[in-house]
Amino acid sequence: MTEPLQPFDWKNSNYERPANTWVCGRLCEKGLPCRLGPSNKGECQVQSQCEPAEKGGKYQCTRSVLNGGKCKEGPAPDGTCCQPDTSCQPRRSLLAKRRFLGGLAAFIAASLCLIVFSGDSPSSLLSPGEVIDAHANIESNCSACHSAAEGGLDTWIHLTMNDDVALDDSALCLKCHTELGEEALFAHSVSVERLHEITSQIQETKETASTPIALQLASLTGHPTTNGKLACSTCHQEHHGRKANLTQLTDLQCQSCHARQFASFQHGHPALGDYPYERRSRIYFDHNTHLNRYFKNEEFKRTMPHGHKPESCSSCHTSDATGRLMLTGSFEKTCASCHEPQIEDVDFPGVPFFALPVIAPTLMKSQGAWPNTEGSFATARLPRLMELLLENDPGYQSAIKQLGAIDYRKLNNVDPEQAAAVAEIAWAVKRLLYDISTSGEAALTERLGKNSALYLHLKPSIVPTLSQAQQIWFPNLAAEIKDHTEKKALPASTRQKQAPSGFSTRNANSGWSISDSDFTVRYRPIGHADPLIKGWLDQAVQKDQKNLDRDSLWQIFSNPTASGTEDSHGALASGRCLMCHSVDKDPVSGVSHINWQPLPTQQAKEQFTQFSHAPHLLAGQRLNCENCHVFDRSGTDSAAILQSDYFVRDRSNLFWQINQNSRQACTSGFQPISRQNCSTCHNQATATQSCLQCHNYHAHRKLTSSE
Amino acid sequence: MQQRITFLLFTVISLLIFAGCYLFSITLSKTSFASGTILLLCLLFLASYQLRKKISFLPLGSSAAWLRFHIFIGFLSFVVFAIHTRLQIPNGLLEFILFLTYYTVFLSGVVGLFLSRTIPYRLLSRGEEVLFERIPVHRRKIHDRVKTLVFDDAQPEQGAALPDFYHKHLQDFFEGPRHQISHILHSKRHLHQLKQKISAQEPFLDEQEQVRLQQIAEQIQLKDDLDYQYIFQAIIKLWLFVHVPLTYSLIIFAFYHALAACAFASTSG
Repeated sequence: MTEPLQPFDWKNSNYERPANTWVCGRLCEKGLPCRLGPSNKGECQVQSQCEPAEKGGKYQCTRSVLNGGKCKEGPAPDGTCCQPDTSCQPRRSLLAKRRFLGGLAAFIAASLCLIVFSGDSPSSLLSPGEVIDAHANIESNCSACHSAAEGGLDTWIHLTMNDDVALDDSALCLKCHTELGEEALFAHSVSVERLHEITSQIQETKETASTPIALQLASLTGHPTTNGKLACSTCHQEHHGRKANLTQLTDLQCQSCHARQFASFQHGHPALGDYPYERRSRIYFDHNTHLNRYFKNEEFKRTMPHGHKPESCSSCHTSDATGRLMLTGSFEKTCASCHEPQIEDVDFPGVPFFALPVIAPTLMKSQGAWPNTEGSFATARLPRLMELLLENDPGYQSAIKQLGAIDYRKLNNVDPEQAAAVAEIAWAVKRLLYDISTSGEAALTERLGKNSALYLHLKPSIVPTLSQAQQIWFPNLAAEIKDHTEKKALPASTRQKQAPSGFSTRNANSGWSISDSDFTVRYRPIGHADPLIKGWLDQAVQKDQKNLDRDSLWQIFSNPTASGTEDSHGALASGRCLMCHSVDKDPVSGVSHINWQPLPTQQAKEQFTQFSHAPHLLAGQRLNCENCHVFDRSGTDSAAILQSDYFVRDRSNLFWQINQNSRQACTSGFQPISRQNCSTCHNQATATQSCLQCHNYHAHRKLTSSE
Repeated sequence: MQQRITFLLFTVISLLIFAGCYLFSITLSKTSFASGTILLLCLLFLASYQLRKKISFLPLGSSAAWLRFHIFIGFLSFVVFAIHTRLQIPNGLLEFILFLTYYTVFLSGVVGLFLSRTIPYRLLSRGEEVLFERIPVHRRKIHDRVKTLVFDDAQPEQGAALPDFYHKHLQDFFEGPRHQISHILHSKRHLHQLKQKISAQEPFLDEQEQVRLQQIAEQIQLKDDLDYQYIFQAIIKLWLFVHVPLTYSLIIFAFYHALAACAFASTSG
């Protein structure tokens, strides 16, 4: 470099404006810019060309100082400038080009966005990504999940200001996800009150654990709640691909809401309590007693001659198709060898559904025939079905009102002035038999009234047997009824049938039988799961709980010591329905139901915990059932098993006392699973101790067997 | 020292943002909204640097300070962007375009930072600093000077060796910017080759022509230095053609994305 390239003084340097939109075209092409450059509008402003002026016959240069001053050469003889500047096409400056490119980029971006956002409904181009497989069929229908999709751009702008949009969208989720129940938007799908109740219960326990520092700090940030509700998107975030996991949460996220917080399952997780035996099993079955007593001791071979000892747990329990549950084998496969004879119980005469009260012939003077029932009636009350059938008989109702408290075993002992009322009872019974004999099922329908729907579907029907009983006990009933209707005096029965000393039955094949010994019509279950008895008990427990204590059938089939004659004990107990099948009562609706199956087909109650047997059984041969299910040998001696306390009911006489005392409660006979036992496998080293492995968030979610 | 403080500050702020988002995520708060809002604010601030240049008459701090802050926020925005996108490539078209635009702008910014840190040193190492817009003028002057030395200053008795040499080897060199790749690669091979040709030509010239050839050689060096200045200044100016226009696109995409997120993200998260 021998000399400076550029002069900076104003005389030797052009007036440069690089920030202007336009620059001189000649500068760009030849490096010969004019001194003024183009205008702001991009027009050439060539002004350096002078117009020589003629003075004294000679032309003189008139170029201004700003444009370089007078040139040495001066004008040509013809008066033209010797340095003619040609105008040029100004060019955009670099800055202007950049500005233009910026504008173009912004325009393209805005246009693209407007295309994507245009129209009444959002374009699929707007979608941030694919939804999961389960939602794939509604992916193209944005409005299925987004309330914003119902409108255009203006709606979206409006919705950005709306705090409830998340809950509105959650309502759309629940249109399909009805299995989550009505409280789905509340934490854990339970009501606020229930959540407070559970929280209080947890807080009352004394177990403490140190809260991780992250949770302590996170608690300062608060929770995203809206009116006590949680939007679905709080936990489930869509558009992350077909294979995304919508339910994935970390342990810290789960615990951030919880009253009791801890580091991990291995460190600080509360004890499992009575899990999985916090409730009694649906089928009363004491594993410990069965395996360690009945199948071991010789004494029980006498009462269970066909009983066979299971070889292992899998003899009775096999997993379902998913491996989640261990199902109990059928009655025929697992229980029948011991309990079928008890159910068949040849000494059990059946349950009385109809019985003639004890009325002495002296009380029936001029009132027609009445068998000699003296000393035959076994109970103080009429069978429940009879009560129902006589409920709308005005004569009967008037009579029992007049008699007051009635003991149907002692109607013979009434005062003479009450004889007419006793006779009216007899006529009511005869009318009942007559109606059923002549009108059959129609008579039942009419007499049962509002109860008819409940009891009429019970099969086999009692009608044929009652008609036959009428033929046997009251062969002239039609004539007697006619005369009685015409208020004619009737002679007492000329044939006083004596009660046979023994027990005799007729038509026993259908389950129904007529007993001439005590003038009853009885039903005897024809085997396990007898449909009539099941149906009767279901109706009784669901619809007529208040009268259960008056229902001899209920009492017999739920009383471990009752056999119909109320004098059987011990092993016969397991031949009665409700000795094995428990009753559950819904605390909210108050409706009870009998658990005919060991496991519910659908989980309608709160289910905070889930467990699948399959992975545990597949974990290797080292794992077997006894690793986790350890027998509880306490309270299994025979005295404890058979003591009457074992069968104590609650106040409603419906339900067994539960878990108050292991010696009295009917349990599976296993010790609760211990957390330490689980943590041998589920620990930090194996990284299998996530909350979601064992806990459901949606406690009321109905699970299907496929899940 | 200042760099260390800046780096420490950057680390602390990044960790605070990360920790804040992490803690919010624990409570199932929508961290995407928080990180998205921070990111949008960062983008607006970064874009305002361009505005700052326009309103330089206002006392808003020195341009150098703004640039330092621009770089600081730029890198910080990348941290927030990484948190916002969870370092995943989005599936949706609009979000993918947004993702791509951000990365282009960010990387062009990083490239620009690298250029602005290295090129000035390289410019100082060769030739005189000239204004980029004046380079054509200087090039023209050099060319005119060479042509004068070759043609106008020649004596009638001198042969056509020098003009031939000019037409053969120099004319193209002086007509415009040349050897740009070599300059970028910091190579002087082309200049060395040209000097070798001059040396080879010298024995065939008389004394006067040799003097003129030496003067031409000086102009060659001057022109080469000018080309060097031209290409590096052009690079510094051209990277802005990527960085600035895409920033405008980025802001528009970001606003649309924010609108869609607020209206629709209650379900998608």
